[in-house]
Amino acid sequence: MGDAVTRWLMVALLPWMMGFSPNDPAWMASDRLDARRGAPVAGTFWLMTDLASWEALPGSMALRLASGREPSSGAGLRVAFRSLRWPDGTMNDLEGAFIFRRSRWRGECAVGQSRFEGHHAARCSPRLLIAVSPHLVTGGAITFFPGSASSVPEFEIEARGAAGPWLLGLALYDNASEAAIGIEARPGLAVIARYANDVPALGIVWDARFLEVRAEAEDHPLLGRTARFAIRWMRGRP
Amino acid sequence: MRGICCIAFLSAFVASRAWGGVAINEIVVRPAGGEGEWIELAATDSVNVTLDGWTIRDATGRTRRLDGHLPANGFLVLAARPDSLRDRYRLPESVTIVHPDGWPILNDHDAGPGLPADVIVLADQEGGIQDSVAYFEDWLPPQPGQSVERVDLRMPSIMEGAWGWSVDPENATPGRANSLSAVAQGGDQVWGGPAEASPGTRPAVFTYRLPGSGRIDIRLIDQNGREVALLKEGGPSPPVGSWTWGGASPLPEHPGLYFLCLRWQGGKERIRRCHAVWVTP
Repeated sequence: MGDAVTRWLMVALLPWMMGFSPNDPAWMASDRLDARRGAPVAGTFWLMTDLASWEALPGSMALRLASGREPSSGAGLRVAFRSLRWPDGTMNDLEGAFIFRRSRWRGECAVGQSRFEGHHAARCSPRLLIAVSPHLVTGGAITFFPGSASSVPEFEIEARGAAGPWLLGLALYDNASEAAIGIEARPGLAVIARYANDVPALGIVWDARFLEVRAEAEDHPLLGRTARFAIRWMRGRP
Repeated sequence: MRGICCIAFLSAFVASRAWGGVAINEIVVRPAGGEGEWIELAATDSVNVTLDGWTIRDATGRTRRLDGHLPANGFLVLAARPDSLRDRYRLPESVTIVHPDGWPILNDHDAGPGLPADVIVLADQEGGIQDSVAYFEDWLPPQPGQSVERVDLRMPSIMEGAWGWSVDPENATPGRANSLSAVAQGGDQVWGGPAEASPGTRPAVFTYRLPGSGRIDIRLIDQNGREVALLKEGGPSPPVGSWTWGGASPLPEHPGLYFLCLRWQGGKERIRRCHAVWVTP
């Protein structure tokens, strides 16, 4: 029993002696489970576009275009433009984020603004992820809304990890939560099941070397069937 | 907004109501300026109606005699100050405005806990009740001059959702079709309303048109699909109605785009429909 504990401790502490890598399985799991909220593959320049539509909002569609440079170590940048169109109008959202990354942690500070006709709303969201082990990344974000009548920020705590082919994720928000589980069914193909706010969702990720295609569907109790489709191109992938 | 069907004696009014005649269609209890309070009557059939001998009475039971002529599918306005009303809304001479003796008559403060501010009862020359409506203070729009409109003349007056606040740019529609009727009956729209709302400062009116009576939930959802607020839960609803989002309802913490979602269930049939709205709390 004592030997087993010693062996487990040695394996667990090995990364702390040998060093972490920005391409550890936990970081990869973070990206696989959520391409928008996760950490992109380190050392890449990427372009991404995604589309979303909602059954209960006929005639609506959201388009997001994003690009960024994700560093292996040091500073990076991300910009994103999102446009949500529906029969009565169009809302545009622009976001920029400064990223700083080391092998064991990743910080980002995002600022964004949404606009609809004469109205606008700004937000500022610092976020920190720490690799607890090569197989587990955890952290959180806080979002401030300057200009809002309410000074109450929003909080988020998250943990994502990988164990063999399995990917696991958990995120807790102020009044919501999200759990996700995925499996790398074969190299370049992952299946992800997500349960967020009583809403089940299923996604498939197909991944070639420079290209990633992602399709996801969910059945929201109010928004109805929601479909999302995303393509990401990456350069510099190890 | 509390419904208008909360007092027991109204059911007696409805039971004695004679359909196919005249209905109370629009009310202004708190006028904006000098036009005074007014009530619009509408003909529910394609026949002319002579109102000689008809009466209207309030919660005190005091009766005022009416006269005038209500054209088929047309309107007649009972007003405290007909000339001012005609000037304010540029009403043509073809719209009949009658000044009953003893006006104004309508109260805008509740008579007591659980008691309506006032009751309006319209009776024909034989004393048969044609229509009636009771209202509470919190049913009245906070903005002076904004009317309370009937959504659909085919709906009984006491049904929840049968009345709503005018969404017309002039805040009222004397002598013409109600703004809520036009919204509720127009096109294929199931659930609609303004694209932007500031419920904390100015109530916003949303209308719905459903396949039948049932129960509705109204919830506010953020762009990530998370529920922000439950605004109305499981209430019975008529096929056509309106819902007013006012400051007394829950509001989101921050401004932004939200989805205002309505879920209707009538028997085994269900409908989910959302409306995107920019909300400034």
